[in-house]
Amino acid sequence: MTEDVFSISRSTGWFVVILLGILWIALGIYWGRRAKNAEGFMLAGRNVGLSLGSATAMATWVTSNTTMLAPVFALTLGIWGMLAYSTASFGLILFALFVPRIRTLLPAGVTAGDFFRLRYGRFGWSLFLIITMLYSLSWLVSMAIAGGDLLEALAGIPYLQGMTLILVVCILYTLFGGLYAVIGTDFIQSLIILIGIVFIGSLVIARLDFSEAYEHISTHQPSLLKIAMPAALLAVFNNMLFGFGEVFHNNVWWSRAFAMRKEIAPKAFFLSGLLWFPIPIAAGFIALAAGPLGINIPDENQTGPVVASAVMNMSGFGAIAGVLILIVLFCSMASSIDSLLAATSDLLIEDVKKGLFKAKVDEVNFRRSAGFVIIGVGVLVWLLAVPHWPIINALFISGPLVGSLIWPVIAGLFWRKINRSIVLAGIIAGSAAGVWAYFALGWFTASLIGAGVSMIATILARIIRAETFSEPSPTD
Amino acid sequence: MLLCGGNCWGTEEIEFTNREALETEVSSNGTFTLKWSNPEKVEVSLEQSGDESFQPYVVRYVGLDNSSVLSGLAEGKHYFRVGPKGAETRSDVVGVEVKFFRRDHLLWLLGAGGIVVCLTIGTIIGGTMQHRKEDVR
Repeated sequence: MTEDVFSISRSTGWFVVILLGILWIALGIYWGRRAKNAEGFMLAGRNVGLSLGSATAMATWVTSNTTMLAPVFALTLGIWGMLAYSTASFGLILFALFVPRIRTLLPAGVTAGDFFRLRYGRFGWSLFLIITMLYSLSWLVSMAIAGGDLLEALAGIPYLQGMTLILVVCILYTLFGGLYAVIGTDFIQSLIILIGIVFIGSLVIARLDFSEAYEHISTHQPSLLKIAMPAALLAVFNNMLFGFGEVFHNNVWWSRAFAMRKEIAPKAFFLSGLLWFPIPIAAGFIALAAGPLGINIPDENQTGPVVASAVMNMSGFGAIAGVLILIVLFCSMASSIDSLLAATSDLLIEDVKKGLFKAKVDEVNFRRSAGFVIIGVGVLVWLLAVPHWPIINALFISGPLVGSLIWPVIAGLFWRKINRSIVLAGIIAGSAAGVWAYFALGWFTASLIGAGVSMIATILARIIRAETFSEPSPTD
Repeated sequence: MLLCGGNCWGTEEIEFTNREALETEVSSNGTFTLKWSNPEKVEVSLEQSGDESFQPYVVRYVGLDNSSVLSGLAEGKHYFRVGPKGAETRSDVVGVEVKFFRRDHLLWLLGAGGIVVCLTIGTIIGGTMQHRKEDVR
């Protein structure tokens, strides 16, 4: 019963997306007026409060992967799959404990690269840049592709047009407003995402007879309820460590740690983790209802929109169903694309242009440079998304790479001495072992192996010929 | 076949289109996507059985779609066939296999996962406590 679920017309799809696009761009220009200098543009004046801080962290973490992939986890891995996806929130909660330390070590810090340069020297910093650029680009491209796919599936808008439209909107408002615009729009987008998911979840609950649903799943999909389902159990640890790696190293989160007021930043990250935790469970629960409600899933990657559309159609929402789903999913994509665009361009200006190439970027030229970099990143993402590669696989393969950065970050923040060479060898060995595990054992082991190998190396680095870290200067 | 011109029900044959992948790949989590041809867009019935002779079987899907994701299948061999709803003609049977991750490997990896996660969280909490006074200043 999925044949007619995508029922909004192409013109309606264009209208909704353009209307939302105009709204975000207008808000971006409005909020962007507050960015008077480079620090304002990149770090929103280092003065973000609790509500905006928690909302931006939560909204950024609700990506198209959350709304599209959490249902796939539930559909394929059952109850454990839902929980596995939710464990990514622990990354945000633990990052809350990092923030005071980050602000003490780097009172004038701007990017995550500052930390890696301070603690692991030029080679460690370069290694970090390679890993984070691979990860950030594959994340950005996967979301652009998901956006194009979504508009094609929901409204029949050709993939290339839809993907371009979503990217152009996000580039424009990030360009005008910097982090001010990103954080402001994230706040509104997070509210829309939360309301949308709670609303669709309520409709599913209203339609579902829980005893019949349990009967159906235990008869036809018994492995979804199995406590000892290996792939699902391993996915819990793997996803948790993937989430740790993503949050602990990426500039999206470090730039927010620098942007928020020092005393509220830990609370904001903790709160955003708590708020985020139930979202994959709600999105996954919707997918688990597919079988009992007799909804056919023709394509695993479309699980969320298919079930949500079908349930809303059953509840009499007709074409509005498609519009509401489009708005919620568009918001979840935009809230992450903008943050990644801003954080990646900061990293390219601060670490690559100013750091690696020693180019001078003064206050006068900063906005122009930032503009070029944001547009450049956007064009690169567009070029990579045009061939419509299965880039989501690249994102998952980056799991062991980011997983192998978990312990080097922890050690750099909390330990006083270390053997840098062993830590950096551990990052390379962990990345290689994790990528091997991805292909040889299964995706659900890759981040675990990567993080495990790097952990052993980092612990050894504390014991074998460890050298004291140099004290940071006040300008670091 | 000759009398019907190869098409007894007024439709071209409905057949699984990803048969080779289904029969060669083993699922580690009980999930498969079955795809079939349906050139005349008739309502199809997808049937599942634990026995190759389909005694007994259950209907898993009836409708116009050309594919279906089946998840949560138990370990073992499962058989599927597809055909026009209400007709007796059915596609060739396709057999799929679900084989979970090896139990001994699972225990090792779960143990390793538990240790890595506990040490990671423990080290972060320990580090936070140790630097608390310094960071509050």
